[in-house]
Amino acid sequence: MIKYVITILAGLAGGLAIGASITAFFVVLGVTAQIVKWSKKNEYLIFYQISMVLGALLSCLVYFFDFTLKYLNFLTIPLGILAGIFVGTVTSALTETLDIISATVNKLGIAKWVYLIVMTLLIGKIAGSLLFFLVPGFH
Amino acid sequence: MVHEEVYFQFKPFYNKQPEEKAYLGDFIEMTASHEIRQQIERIPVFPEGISKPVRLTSVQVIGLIKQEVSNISVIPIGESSALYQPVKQEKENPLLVFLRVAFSMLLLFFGSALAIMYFHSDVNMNEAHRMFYYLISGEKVSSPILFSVSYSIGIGAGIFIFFEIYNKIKDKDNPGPLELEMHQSEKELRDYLRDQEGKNQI
Repeated sequence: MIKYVITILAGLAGGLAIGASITAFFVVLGVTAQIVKWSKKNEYLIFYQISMVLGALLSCLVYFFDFTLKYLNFLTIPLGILAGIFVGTVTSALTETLDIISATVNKLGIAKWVYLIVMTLLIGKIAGSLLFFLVPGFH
Repeated sequence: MVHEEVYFQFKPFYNKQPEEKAYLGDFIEMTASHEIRQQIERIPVFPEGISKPVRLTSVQVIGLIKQEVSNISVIPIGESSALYQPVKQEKENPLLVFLRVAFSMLLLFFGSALAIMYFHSDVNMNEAHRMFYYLISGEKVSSPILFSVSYSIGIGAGIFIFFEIYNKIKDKDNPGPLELEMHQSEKELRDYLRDQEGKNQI
């Protein structure tokens, strides 16, 4: 009996720590803020929060219980693009927080060209990602 | 003579070349009647011009004005000191600019390509994609190419959204997060130089 109680407590504690830290990570990076700003409707903030929680729970389901929704193949491309947009936002937020672009541009004195630089970064990210998935032997 | 109150504040920028004679009117804006304004604006501050960054304080400005014009009270508004730099006139070598831009582009292109690969192997992205594909389709495949490719394109779209490039295309003067960041670091540098210059003068 005591074994189960401790297991449940430990599981809850672990989940709490991970959930809180991953949310803190996104919030501090400003990813969620940027996405909410993009939607221009911050009065629906509660729905955004609920969808984040549901998304996390769904991934837990598939990870631990072999859960599948089945026959949603036609959603592959839109969902792939959505997932990519989120990851792209996270990585740019990281780049931005670490000041990589502004440091490079200010040091070299080419502030005028900054958007050209961003476009290169963007294409580099796509190229790197495609290489990773398409060239056999990378994973 | 009527007693007049003159309010002044520092201009944010100085826009004269290094050898040009600098008058008080180049540094401050003020409210004053026409004659007094003309008198104050013509007060020479640096007759030889400025070649390195200089710091002006409200006390110095008040002193200068009081020397020249009597019977007025001078009241500063806003910041109590400001740092001014002469405009750099040297023409930049376009080849050098091109090289610098090309260098940054190469650096960021290969850097970001490698970084995203590091990230993908670090978090075992392929396994995650396999699982996600299983979630939506119920099929277990070794590499869900379709999902991965659309995901890759999505990364580009995500960066596009984060840096608000769509705003940039619509209106060139709209500052994105990048401009704000650069402005912030420039401002911090200016503040540092101003305070440092003040330390040297004491």
